[in-house]
Amino acid sequence: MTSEQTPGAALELDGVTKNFGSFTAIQDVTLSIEPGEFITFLGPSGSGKTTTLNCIAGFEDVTAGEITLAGQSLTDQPVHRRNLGMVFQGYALFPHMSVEKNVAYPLKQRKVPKAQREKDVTATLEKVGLTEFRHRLPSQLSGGQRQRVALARAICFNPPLLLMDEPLSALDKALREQLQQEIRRIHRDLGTTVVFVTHDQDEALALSDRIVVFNKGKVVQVGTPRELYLQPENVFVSEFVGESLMISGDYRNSQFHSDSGTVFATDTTQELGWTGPAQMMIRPENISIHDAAASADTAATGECSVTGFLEDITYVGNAVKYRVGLPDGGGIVRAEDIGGEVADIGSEVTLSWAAADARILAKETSEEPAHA
Amino acid sequence: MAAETVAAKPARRSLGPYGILVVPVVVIVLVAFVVPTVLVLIRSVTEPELGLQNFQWLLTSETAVDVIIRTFQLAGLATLLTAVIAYPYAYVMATAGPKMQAAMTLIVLLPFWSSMMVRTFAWIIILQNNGVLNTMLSSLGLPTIQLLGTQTAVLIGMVQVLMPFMVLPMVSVMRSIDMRIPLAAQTFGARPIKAFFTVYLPMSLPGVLSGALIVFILSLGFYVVPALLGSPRQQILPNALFNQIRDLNNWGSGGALAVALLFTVGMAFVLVYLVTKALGLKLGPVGGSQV
Repeated sequence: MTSEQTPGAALELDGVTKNFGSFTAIQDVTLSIEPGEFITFLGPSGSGKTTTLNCIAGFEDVTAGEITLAGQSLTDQPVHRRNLGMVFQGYALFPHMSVEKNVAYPLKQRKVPKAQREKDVTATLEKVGLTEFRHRLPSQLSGGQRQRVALARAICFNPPLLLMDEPLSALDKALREQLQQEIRRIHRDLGTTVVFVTHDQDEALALSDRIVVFNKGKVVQVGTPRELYLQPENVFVSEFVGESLMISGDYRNSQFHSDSGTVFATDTTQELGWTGPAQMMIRPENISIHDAAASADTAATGECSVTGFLEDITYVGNAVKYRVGLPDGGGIVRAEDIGGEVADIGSEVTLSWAAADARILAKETSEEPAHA
Repeated sequence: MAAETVAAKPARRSLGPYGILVVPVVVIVLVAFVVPTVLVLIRSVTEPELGLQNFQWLLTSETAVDVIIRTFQLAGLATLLTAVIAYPYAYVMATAGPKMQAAMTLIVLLPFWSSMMVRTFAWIIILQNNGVLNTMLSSLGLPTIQLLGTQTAVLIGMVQVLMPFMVLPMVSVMRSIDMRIPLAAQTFGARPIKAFFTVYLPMSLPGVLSGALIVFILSLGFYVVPALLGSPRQQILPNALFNQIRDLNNWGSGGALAVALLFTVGMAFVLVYLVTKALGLKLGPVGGSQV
């Protein structure tokens, strides 16, 4: 409750479950978040990421489990005593108060003396670049400026934990990227722990120390952006984070057998310890693509190769994305722009990659992945 | 009145051939409202002779001043009471589910389904000295109370009828309030009650103000309820006006009273306009557009 600089606090979720009637919104969410860490909850809508955030904020009571902040249980604390900063989706600014009154509101509730309050408000408004707008009403500001007011209001009292619920979803791309940078800078300056909710994987990759991926009310993987991209633990994560080429088949004898019978070598350092239905995943930039008709010796460029049909071509600036259909799957291949397309849409192409770049994932049949 | 201002905005361009359709309304308003009003105004300065003697009477006669003050008090009190009773109802209605909301709208509109006379006589049956209320009180061993013929009875009768005019503008403003905003106030450390008073209440104020404006203006014109439930010794403007014209055939002083009434309504509008402007608010829907 002091307004002096306080570093972020550790946040622990232990077996947090929330039911709405017979519907389980989140099940057994267990997370350990370090002080000062920038954590993103990533997942499609309805995956439970917002419900988890609402449980932390106290908007929802947990059905089971425990939430602790800096070792203190939050679970039975009412919303107004949790001492959290929050940036709401749609900002939720107080429309009848000026910018400075909005930012001063948390300080006023904490009975910060007027002189100190003035100082804190001025400093925070400076931090977010809104000094000259302090007397405006929210309705007189642009979307980006409102977002900054919401951020200023959430950080002015140096909360140990800052929650952000899809704060940038209403803004256009350029503004979003600019604000992402500002959020990172502010996070570095304050050292507060941040829980950021988004469904935008690029945003999650750009901002986070670690990402928590949610699907169907459960945490499916926790890791750094690099870990999620390079070592996804299941098909859902590999498809949700980044693009990929997928081939369906079976994994046995340290080899991948595609449904149509092609055998691929796999990374021998990847100890899986299981066999069965599997998907092979390769990231787009690790695949080379060639016109099958033009060159017959392309298989030599990689250890694995397969032939498919070119379905679509997208030019993305410095590179070209090819959508390729394979007998047992398909996906995206990303190649350097060589001043034209390697082949026409509908023609046959050969894809090749190094066995070490392929990742074998258990096929998601029903509930749990086959491997534990 | 709001309906006219709203409609005027997009209609800046010429009305086209359908302009003819507004003629009946214009004729009715002219013949039934503007012309008689102007006639009354003229009579207030011409009868019994040309001059301002009727207004002199209005401002100096103890009876007339009493009537004006009493009318103000009654209308103010009725507005305040209606607002206080309507607010929680409107809050529940605005935050309720669609079915509950429909049911609550029906309940609040119930008074409109019976005639003013029937409703007022029903209150007489309840409030009179040996009426339902006092019978209940005495059967419980409690002292009976004199209600009929008092301002309290008049207020009870008025508040009941005025309720929908307060509830509906309130609800329409409250429904547009994003409930995450009071929740945000709580997140930033305000107890729920404080979040309500610092955030929700100010945000709902435009609805309260437009409801209060309509109710105040309507209460200034109540005739049947004070005539039947009140006392003739505690007359208010409309009844005094009726008296002057009908019983005393005194068109001049009646006209002066009418001018006082019109002036008061005008002042109420100006006052609410100034308050809304000072607070930087946008007024909620005024008038019975959703009634």
